[in-house]
Amino acid sequence: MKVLIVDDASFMRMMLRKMIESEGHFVAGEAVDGNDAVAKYSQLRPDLVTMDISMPNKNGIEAVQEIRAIDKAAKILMISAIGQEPMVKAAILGGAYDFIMKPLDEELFKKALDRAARDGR
Amino acid sequence: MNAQHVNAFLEAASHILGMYRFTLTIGKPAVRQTPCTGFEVLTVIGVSGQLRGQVYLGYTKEDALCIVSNMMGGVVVADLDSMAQSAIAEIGNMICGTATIQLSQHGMAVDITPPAVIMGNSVEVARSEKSLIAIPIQMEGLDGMELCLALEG
Repeated sequence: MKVLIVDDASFMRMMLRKMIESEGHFVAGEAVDGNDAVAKYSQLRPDLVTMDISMPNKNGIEAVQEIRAIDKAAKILMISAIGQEPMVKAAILGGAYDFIMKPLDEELFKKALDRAARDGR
Repeated sequence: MNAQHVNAFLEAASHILGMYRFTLTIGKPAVRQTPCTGFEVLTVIGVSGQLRGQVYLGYTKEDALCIVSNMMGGVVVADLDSMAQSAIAEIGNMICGTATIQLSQHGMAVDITPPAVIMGNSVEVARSEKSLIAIPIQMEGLDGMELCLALEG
């Protein structure tokens, strides 16, 4: 599975990359905010996007809406801080596929990756 | 700033650091003029909305390295390089993000800025505004950190 990581924190991008690659998936690219995410999605057309919510310039919810406008089949896994349920709900309504809470539980994240890989695009 | 506001940040710190296997003991709050004096690593997060001001998190360098190590699954972290600084920033982001959500559940609309991490041997923050509340937080086996809240509203 080809994955695009979207997070403004380099530490989170590094941790996500490690977990994604350890499951045998390929990190096609990394984006540092919502604008970057939309541009990289158009360019890379990944099978899955991991999307942070709170980011500068354009947040994850706006990015989900724009990516889904480009590609209705886009599969986006929201990664949110605990307690951001209203924002997660907004993202799901905007077309996000699944969500997982921060701090990341490695096993839960891997299960979410497995679900995404099984479902296909 | 009242006890509900302070508790939101303390509960968030306990929860987030607990996720990384740290057990916290909260010390006695004190009123101060300057935040986190004597700490080598300082995270500053701005707060806006119905609470306004700054949140400071102070760590010794050794504690910061230990926290980053736990965040990375236990790998040894020798330097506070840019990646480690990003991890320390993320801890502050998660703590304050969780606190603001708790506050929102009490009807307060509060937002936070991206964290800034400052490092140095004798960092001192000069503040012209009102006093702040400093809360020492002990963590088992570590030097201990300090949470400072300079908030109005």
